[in-house]
Amino acid sequence: MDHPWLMRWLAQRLVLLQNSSQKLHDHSENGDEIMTASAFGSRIRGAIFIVAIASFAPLASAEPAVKDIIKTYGDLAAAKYGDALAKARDLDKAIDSFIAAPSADTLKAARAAWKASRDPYMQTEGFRFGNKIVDDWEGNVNAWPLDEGLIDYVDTASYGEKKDENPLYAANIIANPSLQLGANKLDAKTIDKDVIASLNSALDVEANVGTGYHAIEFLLWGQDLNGTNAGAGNRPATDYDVKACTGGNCERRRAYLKSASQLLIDDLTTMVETWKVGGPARKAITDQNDNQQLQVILTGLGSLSYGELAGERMKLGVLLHDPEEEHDCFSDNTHNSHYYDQVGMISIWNGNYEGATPVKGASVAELARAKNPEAAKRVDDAMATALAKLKAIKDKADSGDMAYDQMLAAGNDAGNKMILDAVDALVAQARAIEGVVAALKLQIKIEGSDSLDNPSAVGAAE
Amino acid sequence: MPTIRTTRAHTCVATVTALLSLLSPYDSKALAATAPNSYALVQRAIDGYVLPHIEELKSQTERLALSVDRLCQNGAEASREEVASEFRKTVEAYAGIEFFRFGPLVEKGRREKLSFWPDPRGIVPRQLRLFMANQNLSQMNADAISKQSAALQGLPALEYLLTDNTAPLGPDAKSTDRCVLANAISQNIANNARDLEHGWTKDGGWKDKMLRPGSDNDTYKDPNESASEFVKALLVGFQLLADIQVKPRFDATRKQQGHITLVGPYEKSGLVKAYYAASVASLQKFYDTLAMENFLPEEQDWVKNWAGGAWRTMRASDGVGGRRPEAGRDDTPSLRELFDKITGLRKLVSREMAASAGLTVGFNELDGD
Repeated sequence: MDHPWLMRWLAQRLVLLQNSSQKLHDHSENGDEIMTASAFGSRIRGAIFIVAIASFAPLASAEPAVKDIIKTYGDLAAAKYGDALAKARDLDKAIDSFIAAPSADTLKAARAAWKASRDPYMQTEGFRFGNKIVDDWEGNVNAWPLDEGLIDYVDTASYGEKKDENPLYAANIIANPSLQLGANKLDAKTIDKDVIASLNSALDVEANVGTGYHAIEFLLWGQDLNGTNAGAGNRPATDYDVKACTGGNCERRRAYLKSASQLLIDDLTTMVETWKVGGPARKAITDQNDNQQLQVILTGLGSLSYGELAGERMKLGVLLHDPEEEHDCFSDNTHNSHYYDQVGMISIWNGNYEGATPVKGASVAELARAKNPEAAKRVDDAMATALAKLKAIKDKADSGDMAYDQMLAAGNDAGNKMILDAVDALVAQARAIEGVVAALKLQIKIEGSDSLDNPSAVGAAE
Repeated sequence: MPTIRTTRAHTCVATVTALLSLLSPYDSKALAATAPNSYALVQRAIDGYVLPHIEELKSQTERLALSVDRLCQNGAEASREEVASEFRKTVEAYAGIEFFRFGPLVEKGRREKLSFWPDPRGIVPRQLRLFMANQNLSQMNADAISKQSAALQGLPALEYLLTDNTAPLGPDAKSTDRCVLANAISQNIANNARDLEHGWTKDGGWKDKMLRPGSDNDTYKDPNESASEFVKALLVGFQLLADIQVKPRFDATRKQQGHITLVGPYEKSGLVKAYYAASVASLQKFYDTLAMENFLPEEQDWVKNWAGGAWRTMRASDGVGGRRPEAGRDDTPSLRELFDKITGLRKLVSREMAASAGLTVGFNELDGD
C-alpha cells in the first residue's frame, strides 16, 4: 500500500513533467546526463520519486510562526498515533477471531491485520528521538531485536539453548509457570498483561522483550527458519488449538497473544492521550523556547535517519549477513517497515498527512525554505532520494523476487547494494538535516550527564 | 561517590551558562579570543592527528599478522607472548581512531570489520562457532573472510581464537584449521587498515574531500561542515568512552543480583584498562589538536578550567573503578564521577566550544538505540 498523499504528489508531478518539454538533470554519480521529461518518465520509478518530490517543494515561501509549526507537529502525532491505535484494534479483533477458531484462514487474517497495523505505526517513528516522552515509552511497543526463546519454544538446533549475554535466552515463559529473574521469582502461573510487561529488559538485557509488535509478530509467525532463503515464519494455527494442540501449552500461548494485543492497545491509547491538545507531549515541547521546539522536530528526523534506521536496522544486518538482524524478521515485512519510516519522516518535514484525520499545516520545511532555500532543497532532494532507494527495496520484496532477508545474504551483491544504497541515502539525509539545523542556528541537544544542567549534582572537577 | 556540594563557583558556572545560552554562535564568535578558522582546524586534525594515527594502525596490524603467522608455524611460548603484545598494541592503536565514524572508516563497513564491538548480543562467538563448525576452513584466506559477516573478520574474532584454550594456535594438527582462519583474519585486518589509509590519502580521497568543500562536493558544502565533522568525532569519542566503557560498570551490586552488564572491550585478553587508557590518551591528543579552547572568549575561562579538571579525572581513573599509578590526583574518582566528567566535557565542547567556533554539531551513528 502506498500512502495516498504521497502518491497524489507523485501523480501531480508526473503530469507536470509529462506536459513539459523542460529538460531535467539526472543527478547520477557522474552528474552529466541530460534527458527530456518524457524520456525520464520511462526510467525506473525510483528515479521519478527523486525528481517529483524535489520539484514539488516550492522554492521559497512565507515564513511560518514556530507556534503554528508545532501545532501541526502535534496534530500529526495525534493523527498518526490515532491511526496506529485504530489498526491495533483491528488486529485485536482479528486475534479474537483466530483464537476463537484457530485455522489457516483466521491465522492468515490475523497476520494481515498485523502487517496493516505496522504501516501507520512506522510513520510515527519520526516523533521518537526528539521527544523523551515518546522515547521512554517506545520500548513497550517496538523493542527489537528480541531473544524470542524467552517467550515460546524455538528451534534449538539453529537458535541454541543458552547465551552468555542473556540468562533468559531460552526461558520460554509460555512453557514455564515461574521464572527466575536474578534474585526474584516471577509468578507466571497466569499469563496476563502484568506478567508479560515484566519481561521487558529483564535483568537489564535489552533483547528480553515481552510486549509490542515484535512479540505479537513472533506469536503469529514463529521463527523464520529459512535463513537467507525465501520464506517467512510458518507457525501452524494449531499452536493455538486447544483440541489439537501443537507446540504444547496452547492455552498459555493464547493468553499470551491476547494479553500482548491488549497491551499494545493500552500503550497506543496512552500515546494518543499524550498527544491530544493540551496533553503532556505537546506541553513538553511548548514549555521550551522557539529554537528548542524546532530542535525537537529536527532531532527526531536526523536521529531516526542515521543512527537508528541507517545504522542499527539496516547497515548492521547487511554487514553481519544475518537474517536475525532484519527488523520484522519473523514476518518478512521489513521492507514495509523501513519504507513507512521514511514516508513518516517526509510527512513530518512537510507537515502533511492523509490518514483518518488528515493534517496539513505549517511545517519546518516551509520555515527552512523561507530562511534558506538551498538548505531546504538539500533536505527535499535527500528525502526524495532515500524514499526512492527504500521504494526500490519495497518493490523488489513485494514482487516476490527477493525478500529483505535474502537481500542481506552473504554473496548477494545486488541485494547488499540495494540496502547499502539506502543506508547511504539516509546518512546523506541526516547530513542535509544538519544543514537546516545550522541554517536555522539551532543546536542538537546532547543527552547524557546532568552535571552541567545541574552542577550541584556532582563534586567539583578540581 | 564524590562529595556533593554546591559552591559559589558552581552557581557562577550555571549563571554564565544560562546567559551564554541566550547568545547565538555569531554573538559568541564576536567575542572569541582567536578567530575561528575552520579550514585550519580541518588541516590540523588531518595532518596532526588522523593520518599519523591511521599510519600507526596500519603498521601495527601488519606486525600483528606476521606475529600470528609465526605463532602458527612454531607454537613457541615467545611467539605467543609476541602475538599478545602485538594484539594489545593493535587494540590500542584502534582506540585512537575508532571515533572517526565517517568517511573511510564507515565505508564498506570497515569499522565493524576491524572491530565488531560492543557486542551485547554475543554475535561474534555465535557466528564464529557456527562458521567453524559448518565451513571448510582449509581454503580460507583474507579475501574469502572479507566476504563473510563483519563479526567474523576483525579483532574480536581473532581474540576469540587467540584466547580459546581448547586448541591453542600452533603447528599441531588440531589447530590447523584455526591457524588458517587466524591468518586469514589477521591479514584481512591489515588489509582493512591499508584500505582505510588509502581512503584518506588517495587523490580525491577523504582528505581532499574535507579540504575542498563546496557546492560540487557531495558531502561537505562549506568549511564549517568539514570542521563540524571533526568536532562530532570528538563528541562520539566521549560518548563511546562514557556510555560504552564506563557506564556499564557503575553498579556492581546489580551484577551480583544476576543483572547483565556489557562485557568490556577486549576483556578476554585482559585489555579493558589498556583500552580505556588508550582511549583517554587519544581523545586528549585529538582535543589538543583541535585546540578549540582557543576560540573561547576570556569570559569563558571557566570552561577551560572545568575541562582541565575533567581531563585530570579521566587520567586518574583506570576506567574500571580504580586509580592509575600515574594519577594526577590523590583520591580515586568514582565511576559515577568519571561518567559525569566525560559527559560534562562532551556538553561543553558541543555547547560552548563549537558555538564559539561557529560550528553546528549534528547527528551521529550512536543516536539510535
